[in-house]
Amino acid sequence: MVDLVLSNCASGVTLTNCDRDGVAVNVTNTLYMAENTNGTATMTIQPDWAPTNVPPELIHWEILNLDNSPAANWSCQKDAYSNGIAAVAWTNTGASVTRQFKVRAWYDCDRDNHFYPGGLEPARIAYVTVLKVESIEPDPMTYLMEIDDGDGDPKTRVFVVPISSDYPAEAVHVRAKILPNLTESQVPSGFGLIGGNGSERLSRTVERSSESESGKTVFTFFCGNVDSGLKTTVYVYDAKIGLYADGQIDPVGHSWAKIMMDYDSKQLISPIYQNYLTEIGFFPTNTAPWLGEDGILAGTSVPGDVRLDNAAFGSHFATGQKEYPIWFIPLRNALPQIHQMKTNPPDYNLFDFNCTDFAIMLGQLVGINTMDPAGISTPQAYASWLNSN
Amino acid sequence: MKQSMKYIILVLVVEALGVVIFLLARPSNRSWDTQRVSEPQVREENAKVIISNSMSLKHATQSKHSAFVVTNQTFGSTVVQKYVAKSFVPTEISTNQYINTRQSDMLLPIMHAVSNAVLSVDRILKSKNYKNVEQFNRTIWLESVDKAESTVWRISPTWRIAQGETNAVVGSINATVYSDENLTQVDPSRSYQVVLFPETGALRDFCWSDKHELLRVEPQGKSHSGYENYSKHLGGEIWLQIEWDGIGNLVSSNVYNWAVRGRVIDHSSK
Repeated sequence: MVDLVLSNCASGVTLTNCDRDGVAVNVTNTLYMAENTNGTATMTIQPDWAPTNVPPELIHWEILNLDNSPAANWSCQKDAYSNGIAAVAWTNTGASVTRQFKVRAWYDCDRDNHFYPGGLEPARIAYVTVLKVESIEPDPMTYLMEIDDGDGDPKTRVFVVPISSDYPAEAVHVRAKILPNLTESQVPSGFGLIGGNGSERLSRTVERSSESESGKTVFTFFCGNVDSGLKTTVYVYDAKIGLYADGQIDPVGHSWAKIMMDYDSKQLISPIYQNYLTEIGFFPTNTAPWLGEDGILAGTSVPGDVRLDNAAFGSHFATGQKEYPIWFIPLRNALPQIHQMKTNPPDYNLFDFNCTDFAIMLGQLVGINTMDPAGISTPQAYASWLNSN
Repeated sequence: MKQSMKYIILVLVVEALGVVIFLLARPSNRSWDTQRVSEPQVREENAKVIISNSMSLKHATQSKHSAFVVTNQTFGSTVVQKYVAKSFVPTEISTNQYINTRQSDMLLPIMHAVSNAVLSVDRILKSKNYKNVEQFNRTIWLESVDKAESTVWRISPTWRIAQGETNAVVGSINATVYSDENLTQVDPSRSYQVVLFPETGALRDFCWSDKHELLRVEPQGKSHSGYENYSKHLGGEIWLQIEWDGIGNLVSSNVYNWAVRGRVIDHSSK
């Protein structure tokens, strides 16, 4: 009797002398079988010993399920014998279980009786165990969180964690949890995690110590060439807000913000809001009067205008600036509010809610508190604040 | 620390003076050209002239706008050259290198729109068939009305920091398409915005005004050949999102429900 080390993903065996009529079989390869996939995997069974020159078509194989109550979701069937290898298709649609199979082989001596018959040894018994991949997920760590990936597939999961300013930064450790609970060395060759850093079969890492390490890393678990179907993606995100002020007073100053995120992590931002990952500035609408009792200079509130990209700052350049790392969730929550202000801008008031107040508010929306917006906020004061704090 | 109120009032007075000077100077710079653009904007043979690797954004004529003089300043780590004393506007936008629509036929409508925008804007700039709209502070955009196409073009120049050029190249194009000849009913499904990279002129973003399709382009980076992200609104919060790499290989294609995507899964409550 030979144990098979197996998986959902299942495994291989070595069977010898399981002959009837003189053919020994040697089942040497690993059988890959993904759990609940309805697919088939192939185990090859090779003659370990047989008289030479036995025509392949005379070799016969028998694979029998020995379970008392064979499950409907298990089956095996003989396939063509070719080049000394008999391919057997196994189908598994069940969960992690162990099944017994009897494997034996013989050749047809009736058609060519100059081959002498072998002994009538009993067929070998093989155990096939489905190895179930329960999960692929990172170890808990500070700032790491799982978010809904929105595709409705429970087999795909997404985790986010910011890049770290610490050195050395704590890496993300991703592990595959499997049943039965095999150790790293017990996991059959060809089985294991794909993705991340390292070569271990059950654990990998993702570095997060610098901006260049931002981005996404996808982890899967393969059983040979069979995908377990689980996919976990870890996004190490690099999100920042830059706050800028042009403190020149010739002719006027200006303040604005820029929200930045690494390319991969933008995939976690709705297409509607991705265009706010750029420069954002606030102005009075161009039709508002500057002079007169109802003018901007008189402190009258006029319709505002939220502008993006280059229009957010025109040809201003910052005499004061500072960048802050920001977290994913505050950013995600802020973007719909920014969108709302873009589509329905607040009123601009030179004294109460001007471009500098707006930039300060953008910082607050993503969790960054800078200058106190009380009173009249000027680009000059803001530039000074950003440079000195 | 905030400045004292006295200082703020002084600053505001100086600012107001600058603005008044600015406003007084503005009328002489406004030159509405009512010349119509009569020819159709797009030729079929130009349909593939779309996402340009290097839309050559040429410049620049010095406008009459007197703007500002600034001494050496820094922007991040980049030392900005002595600031140009005058503002500029682009004089043309043209394409000299193209990427065919190899990614997918589903990008064809976007390709047509971008091609249309580039050809139209190039003609508008060369003919100076636009009005300058001076804005608060130093933001400038140009507008041109094409009644034949029921389209109002807004061209926003941009600033190439490294070259110290101000407003010399086209940064973005907004096409507001109307469904009537009197230009009263905007058709958001045909209106769109094109954003270009200031340094290369290549397409960065495209979106229809009603956001039924968006395209975002990431240029080649240190570790990748670039990406193109296409998003198509399928209704509600459901979007089809497709990504190609910079050489046209399909990277991913997913349908996401953005009502839940990105929402934190709280395991501690389970």
